[in-house]
Amino acid sequence: MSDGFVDARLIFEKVKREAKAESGQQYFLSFPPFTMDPKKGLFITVEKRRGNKERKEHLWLSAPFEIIGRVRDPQSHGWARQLQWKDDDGVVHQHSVADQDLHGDGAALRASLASGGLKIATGSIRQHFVSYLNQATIKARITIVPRTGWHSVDDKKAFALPGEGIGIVGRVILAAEITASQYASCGTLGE
Amino acid sequence: MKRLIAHFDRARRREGAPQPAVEALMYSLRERGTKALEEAAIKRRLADLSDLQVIEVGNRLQKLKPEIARAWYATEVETLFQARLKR
Repeated sequence: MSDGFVDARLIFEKVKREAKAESGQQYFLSFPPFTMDPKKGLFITVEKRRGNKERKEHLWLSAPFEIIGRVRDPQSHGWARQLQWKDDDGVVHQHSVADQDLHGDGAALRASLASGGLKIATGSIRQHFVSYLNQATIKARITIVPRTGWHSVDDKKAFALPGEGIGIVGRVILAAEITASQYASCGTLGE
Repeated sequence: MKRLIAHFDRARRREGAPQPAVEALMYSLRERGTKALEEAAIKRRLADLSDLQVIEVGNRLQKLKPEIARAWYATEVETLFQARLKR
């Protein structure tokens, strides 16, 4: 054995991380006045004036999350943004936030995200969270389909498979994947 | 058709390759070192391995006994993984 033995799992994770960073597959979006820190979360920078003095404050809005794409159905309806985050146990959650849900007071939206373990600020500043979602622009496209198989997209036939589609630009997700149970099985009892 | 094939390739990769394919890859790598990674057949075999299998290969290559072949360095294993992920 060579002296410099390193657990291959660690090397693999490192190479995977580097490949992911190179391909730009992370979608932590920052744009003024919002800053999304992949570790600390979403902040808004606000200017506060006290007397003649002006100072900038960074207010925490939520735990970190990614906006991995714009979601719509094959007929270009039901636009949404697909969010992804890790809860305190490290479990990855995904949630589609419909554009139409950004036009209310956002309470139901924030509640459903919070139930998936995404920490969101309370109080009056939480409205900025909805503003961030509404202003976030992302090029990646995700097509949501009710089932695998043939679909009509822009008068053309397209075949949808889990994760991708033939004749469909971008990723494909099944409606059932969104509503599916969070429970899943993995491994055996022996393991 | 290309994307359909790629989809089923990925599904197969999740399951992993049969053990004889893993052993054949191990043999090629220990005999020819990282040079083997340039061969199309090796690239294909490597692509068929599951993540767990490729990690196992990485560990085994580092643990090779001198009487069989030179043990790989961590940097060489890194090259192996890069070749796998480049696909």
